[in-house]
Amino acid sequence: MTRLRTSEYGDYDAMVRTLLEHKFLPEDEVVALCDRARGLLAEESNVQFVRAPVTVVGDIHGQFHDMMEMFKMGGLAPDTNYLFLGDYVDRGYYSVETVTLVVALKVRYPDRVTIIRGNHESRQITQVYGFYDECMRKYGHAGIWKAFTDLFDFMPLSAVIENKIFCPHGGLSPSIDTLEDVRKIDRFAEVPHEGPVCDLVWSDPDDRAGWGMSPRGAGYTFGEDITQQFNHNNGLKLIARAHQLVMEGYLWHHDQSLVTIFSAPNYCYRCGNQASIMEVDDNLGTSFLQFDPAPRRGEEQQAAKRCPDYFL
Amino acid sequence: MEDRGVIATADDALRAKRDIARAGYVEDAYIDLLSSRTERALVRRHPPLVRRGYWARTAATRAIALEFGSRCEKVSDGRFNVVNVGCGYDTFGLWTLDRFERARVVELDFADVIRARSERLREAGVERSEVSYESRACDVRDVSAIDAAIGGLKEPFDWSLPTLVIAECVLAYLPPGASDAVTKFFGERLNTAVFASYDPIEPDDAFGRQMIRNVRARGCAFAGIGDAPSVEGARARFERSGWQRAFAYDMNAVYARLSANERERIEKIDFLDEYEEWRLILAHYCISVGVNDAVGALGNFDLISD
Repeated sequence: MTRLRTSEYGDYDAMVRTLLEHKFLPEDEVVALCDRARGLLAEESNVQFVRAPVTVVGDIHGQFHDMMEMFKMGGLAPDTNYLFLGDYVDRGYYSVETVTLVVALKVRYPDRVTIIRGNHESRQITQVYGFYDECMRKYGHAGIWKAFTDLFDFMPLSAVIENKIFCPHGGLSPSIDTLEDVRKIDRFAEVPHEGPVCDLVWSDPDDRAGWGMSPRGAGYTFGEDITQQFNHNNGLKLIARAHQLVMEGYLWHHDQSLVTIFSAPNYCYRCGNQASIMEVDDNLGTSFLQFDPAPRRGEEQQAAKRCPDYFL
Repeated sequence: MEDRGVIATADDALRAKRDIARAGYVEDAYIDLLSSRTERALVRRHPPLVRRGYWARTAATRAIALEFGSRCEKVSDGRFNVVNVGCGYDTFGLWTLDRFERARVVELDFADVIRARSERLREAGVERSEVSYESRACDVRDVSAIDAAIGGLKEPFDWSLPTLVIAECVLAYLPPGASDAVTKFFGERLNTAVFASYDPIEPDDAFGRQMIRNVRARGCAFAGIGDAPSVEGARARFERSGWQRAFAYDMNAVYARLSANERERIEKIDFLDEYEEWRLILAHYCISVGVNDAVGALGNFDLISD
């Protein structure tokens, strides 16, 4: 049984409330949530279909209070439909709280909330960029990290809004010509070091035409010609993706055939950037809501005193 | 004054430089010895971006020393001075001495820092003749203090020798206007010299404003950043303080000029996934260089690439 029974709504409503209040959720509940979500996500497509209207969210990276700020502006599920483009964890101080809430919303409102996988939803990356350490710190052992990273393997690789707006976390892949190619991938594994799954979560658009080597060492860069061709081949009007810090919170590329959305304001408490979310209306019109960081508190404030990393 | 916060930055740099040595970015025979005993027991893994950035700064200053030292072989029979202004716990001076036996290194910083570094080196049994290596306490915000410290060296300082002056994250901490006095002081006394300064820049864009807020929050404001707020501004500081020639690069440009082999090697140590942030932070630091070359000994001295 993957979808909640009506009789379970009350428990999950209470869980969502607890998480929204930024209160601690016991380990057994988190593990049970992950189990539940795994069953749900396993049934979803590699290109999960999403209905408009929907609000599209880019990288959050554990900036929990900023996500609350975002919900204040964009509304909360189920009143607003959400498509989250991945990178819930790492870098910020509240990866556990952030990813738990996102997953809880997914389980409680499976038709109103869509979540896909980012390059940070990976065992390897989370051990370098903070989620693993945070799980150890907050729960004392790696069990929570294991529950989540096992869940990450089941997250869809992309979504498509009304078959017109294609939404991967990163970008396109030379191994992928059509959405059908994506649908055929067997995704239930760790993000590999190369190949189509890797490219979907790692690639970036570029000003140079064609495919290029990515400076990140994973995925590719792709030019406007690639984007236009892909959109044309698949009857798409737009690619909406996340993955890159953009100072205004969103940035158009490739003659408006692709847009980057980034939803972590003042990323890493250092970058000074604005964040945004993209609202897609019934007619697939797009508009952006920009937002600034929530006031810092708790660990974040301490961190500000320690100073994020500069070269001093 | 904010001495405490500024002095604490020497510890930050020490920790980061120790971390990159442990991780294999640079060879550094002395960094552990310069760490306090408590510090040595700690492993503080820095994020890949920070490691790579400290590597770039270390590789660049070492490249400058190698280039300068090798040019001195011809001019002064290999003899030259290194003055490290605000040396903190840098191992740069000892590193240079190990490569150029006729070099002479003078290190200047706050008394607390000089005391700690001298004690730690003594405990570790690192002994160098005072003829070639001396660390002196002095408040580098005040040029007359610098003048007095150099004047008070046990072995008289030979101003006529080629001299490399290094200031790593120092000039931007000085009070407004004070850094010009420092560059002018050395520029006026040295005929054959390179002054290389590593500093934060661009305090007025979104990233820069956040950087200023964050460093101020921990009590080490970049008080003098306005005196050289850009690559061009940092270059202009050397020009207006009388240096014969000046140039500057932001750290993105510096990074691109570092040895391609070395870059390839260190880029494999950690997986850096944050490219936008990497470029952004490097765009907020620069190396500026003043050159005095009265007898044409330094030629087209530049930040080299291989």
